[in-house]
Amino acid sequence: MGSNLEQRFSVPSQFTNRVSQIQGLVGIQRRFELSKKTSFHPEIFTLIPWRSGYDGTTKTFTTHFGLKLDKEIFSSLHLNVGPGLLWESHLSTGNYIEVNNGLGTSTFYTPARWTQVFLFTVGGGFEWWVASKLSFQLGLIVPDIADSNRRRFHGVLNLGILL
Amino acid sequence: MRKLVFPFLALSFLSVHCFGWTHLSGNTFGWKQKKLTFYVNTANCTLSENELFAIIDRALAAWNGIPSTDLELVRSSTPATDGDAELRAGTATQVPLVVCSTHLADYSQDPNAILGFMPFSQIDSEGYINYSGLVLNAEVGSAAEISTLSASEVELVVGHEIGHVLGLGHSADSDALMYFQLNKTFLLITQDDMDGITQLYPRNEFLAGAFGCSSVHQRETRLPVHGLLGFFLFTALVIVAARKKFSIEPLPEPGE
Repeated sequence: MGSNLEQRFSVPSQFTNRVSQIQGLVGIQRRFELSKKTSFHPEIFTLIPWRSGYDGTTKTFTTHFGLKLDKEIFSSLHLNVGPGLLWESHLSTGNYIEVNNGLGTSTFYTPARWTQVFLFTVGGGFEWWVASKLSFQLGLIVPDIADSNRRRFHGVLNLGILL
Repeated sequence: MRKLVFPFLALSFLSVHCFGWTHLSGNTFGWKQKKLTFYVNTANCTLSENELFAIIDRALAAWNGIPSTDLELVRSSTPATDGDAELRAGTATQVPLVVCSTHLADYSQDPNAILGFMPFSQIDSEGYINYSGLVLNAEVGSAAEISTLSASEVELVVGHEIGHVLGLGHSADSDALMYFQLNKTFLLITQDDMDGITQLYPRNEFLAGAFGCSSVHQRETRLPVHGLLGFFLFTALVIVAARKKFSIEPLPEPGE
């Protein structure tokens, strides 16, 4: 559990490039019209957990329930905003792993545990109808909006198909 | 009234990383306290007290910035009276304790290679950590003495060792702060670090202790069925109330 000097000052070339990754969400949204230009959108999205794993014994599932109020600004552009609930589920089956320790290897562990995290969120964004049955949504999901240190902004780009 | 159903395919910028976090023990729940105070003994340190405090504060702030945990880390405002000798002897009462060591051989560590380390972690019968600390290399003349590094590099070292103090082991994810190599230029808590610490200190705003009302962190792992039912009931009520309020009438068909 030390911080090794030689390792610190020699950064291997494979670590010099950091690539941002994206992942897929699938979800469904039901639209309840409240007036000609206003509607209410309960929605649920789940992240597809395709993480490449070190040992495959642990998984994280992320689901977001949203309650959005949608307002038509122009005929093809809508604004939506509303609260939500973020559910993270961390599942690990318990294992021990030999991991590099800088000077050798050490044994570390993953617990046999299913942990739940529930966070209230605020979300919002724009929806652009590019065709009668096709739209794009650009939105944000923000847990802990009132806490400047813990506040996180999760950006979401949706492709919506009207059934 | 039109009822529309949208199946969505979405690309999210929520970060995803290779999964690699580990814990120091297979059955630990981390520290018992939600609010954990780090005590810092500045004796022997080759950095000034203000510099060291500022570095530790930034490292603690980084770990505090994770929304999915209910842990709050703070630094004691006054220097600790327990020191290197007490930490090694296992008699320190101000834990977790941060000390500077001028003789790393006392811990069987190489002063020319080791910048900082977490020497001990004791876990009680309930699975909670109750004794730990971190040691910084203050052995003047050694190659790995911390004053030879920049403040951001010391911050990386301290941030990594705080992860060990909290119960994390090394990660197999090369992006993670808890990776064995400090192959970074600034302190960044990655998604892998967040997932590992969340397993130890999960935050559940539905269950008892939500909104900071409990001093012990959440170790309940069951689904909060009542909370979820309440949430969905609230959703249904909002829909019903909104539809009554707006007195919805059928929209005219196109062309009428």
